[in-house]
Amino acid sequence: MDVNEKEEFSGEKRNTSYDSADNHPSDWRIPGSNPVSAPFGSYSTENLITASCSPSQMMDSFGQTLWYDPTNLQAVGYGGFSGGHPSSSSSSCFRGNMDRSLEMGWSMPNLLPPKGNGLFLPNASSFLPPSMAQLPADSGFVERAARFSLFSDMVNQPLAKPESVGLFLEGQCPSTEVNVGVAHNDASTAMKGPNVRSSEQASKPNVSEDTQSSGQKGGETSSKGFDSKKRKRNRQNSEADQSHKSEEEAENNGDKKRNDEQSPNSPGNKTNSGKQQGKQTSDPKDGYIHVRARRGQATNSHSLAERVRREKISERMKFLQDLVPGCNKVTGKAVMLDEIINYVQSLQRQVEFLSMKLATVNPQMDFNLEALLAKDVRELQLRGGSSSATPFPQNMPMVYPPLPHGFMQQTLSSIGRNISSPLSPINGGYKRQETNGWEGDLQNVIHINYGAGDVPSDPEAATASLPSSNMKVEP
Amino acid sequence: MKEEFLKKWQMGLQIYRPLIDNTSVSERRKAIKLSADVAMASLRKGTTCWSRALIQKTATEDNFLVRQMLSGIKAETLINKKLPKVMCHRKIVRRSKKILRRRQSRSAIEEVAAKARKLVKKKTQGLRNVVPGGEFMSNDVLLIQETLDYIVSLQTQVNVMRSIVDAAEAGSERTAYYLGKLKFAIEDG
Repeated sequence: MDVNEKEEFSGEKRNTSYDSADNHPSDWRIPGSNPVSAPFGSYSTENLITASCSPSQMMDSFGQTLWYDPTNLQAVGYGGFSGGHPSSSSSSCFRGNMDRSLEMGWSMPNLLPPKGNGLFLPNASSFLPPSMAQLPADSGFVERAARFSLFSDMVNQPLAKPESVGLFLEGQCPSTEVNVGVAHNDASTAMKGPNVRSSEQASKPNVSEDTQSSGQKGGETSSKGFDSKKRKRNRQNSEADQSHKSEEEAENNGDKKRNDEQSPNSPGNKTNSGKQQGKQTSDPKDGYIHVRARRGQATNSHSLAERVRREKISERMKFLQDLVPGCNKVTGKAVMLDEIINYVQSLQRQVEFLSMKLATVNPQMDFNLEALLAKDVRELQLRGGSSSATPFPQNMPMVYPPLPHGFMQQTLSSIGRNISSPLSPINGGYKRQETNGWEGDLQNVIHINYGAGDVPSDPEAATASLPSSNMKVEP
Repeated sequence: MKEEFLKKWQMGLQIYRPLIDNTSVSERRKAIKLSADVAMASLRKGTTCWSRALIQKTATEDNFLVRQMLSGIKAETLINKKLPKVMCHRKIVRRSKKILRRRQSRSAIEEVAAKARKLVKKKTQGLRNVVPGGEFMSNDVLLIQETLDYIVSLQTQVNVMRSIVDAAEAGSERTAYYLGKLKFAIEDG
């Protein structure tokens, strides 16, 4: 889990670094891919923290995305992580916090930035390149944007990423709204200086009032503008939110089935990212997740909640996709679930098989930790050809098989049978000695192997230690 | 993570070592597997559902081991805690759904969507069967989360065990060669 933890921290640091103001996991919702690193590549590689380990390769991509939440939690300290904790604890903390702080976690990014837009840019990085080209600086849009309640949504978002916000908006909505959003973003960013919060808050009531009073067209466009994204608002904006929400609901009453959400909106992943953004701005204080209905979707609480739930599920499925090898090409829940089930079953079977193997290999079951770890190192050395004078493992003497001479015949017969695995544990230790001094000494090898070969066939004999065998083995 | 798992596993195996008379391979395997499972689950310290379920499952088989391996209060709480009674009575749910479904529309699209949903439901049920404690996870989100964590732990477990097996077997290659030579030499001569 080293790599995993590294990426956790890297993601966390990345957020902190580019977010200047806050440890904002703007890219925390990146679905499985790591385009995040593209714009923030400098951070990601540099900020790798060598934390304790975790299943590395599997978790690489997975960790980068999934662990932003705990990393952010960690960064902020909300999740109860401690920076110095080993990765295991952090990962376990993540797991532990996952559930109860899911809501919180959604709002973690919100917590972190005291100022900033309410919009999150989950896929900011991925959207960054395309959107950059399309950022329109339209004064008319800016004006309209100023009126949009979108403004208030952006209160809790760090303004450090205007482009990404624009990108996100762009990805989210149809072009008009995008422009609006982008322009709005520009306007908001332009209007807000470093002191985002104060200005935002000052403008927020204005915006909300404007939105409310803006009448049909303005209100409609504004609501459409941010209907395309699902956002979770801060408690501070709750009043504005509710007012806006009621407006939106009034607009969206025509939409019924939540299945329609895919059709009227641009591709699902974009809406997903938008929703993710919104989710991230939820308020940790009240623990609620204020979700804004998307354009063209049902707005009753049930469908909203269901949509939130489905988004969560799809996000996790994406993480699973990264974790389970060979799931990248698979699309669709059912097939992926199938793959996951097969993978879990195969892992379980592997565990059983390996434990069976270990049981046969090592009748004494004395897996000496240091010895085994040292063995791994030694094995690499040995395979490399170097015969290092490795320290004899402590447990080896215990492993020496008792070898009554009467067993020699048996050993010979069993040698053919038990060449590989049964001999391995003893031979592990013996081999060290062999390589040290007895490379070509078949005689000694025979002695050793007699003892070794005897073990699996005669576990009882193993308990009766014979000094002779020990003498044979020792150099 | 790996080192911690290994340490805990060693601890569990230490408990079994005095019982050196478990000579049968199956008993040893069982001991190894149980201690590995408990070690894996204890790493999560009861934060995840599957770890709790796994510990409780092994507690039924070997309470002593579990108690020894888990230190402190956790052991007691985890062992004695009753399993969450969120077991879904699938048959009842299915029956009630059938009643509700009678009045639903039968458009083609609806049917396809319904079939897809059924398939997904079946798969999630299969996943619940595989993941320890899956039956008690009330919602899909939790299930998938637990699956994620469980997969990660399984992977560590497999990696550690495989490396141990490889290390233990490492010596066998050369000795196998020598043994082969010896065997032929003896047979010939």
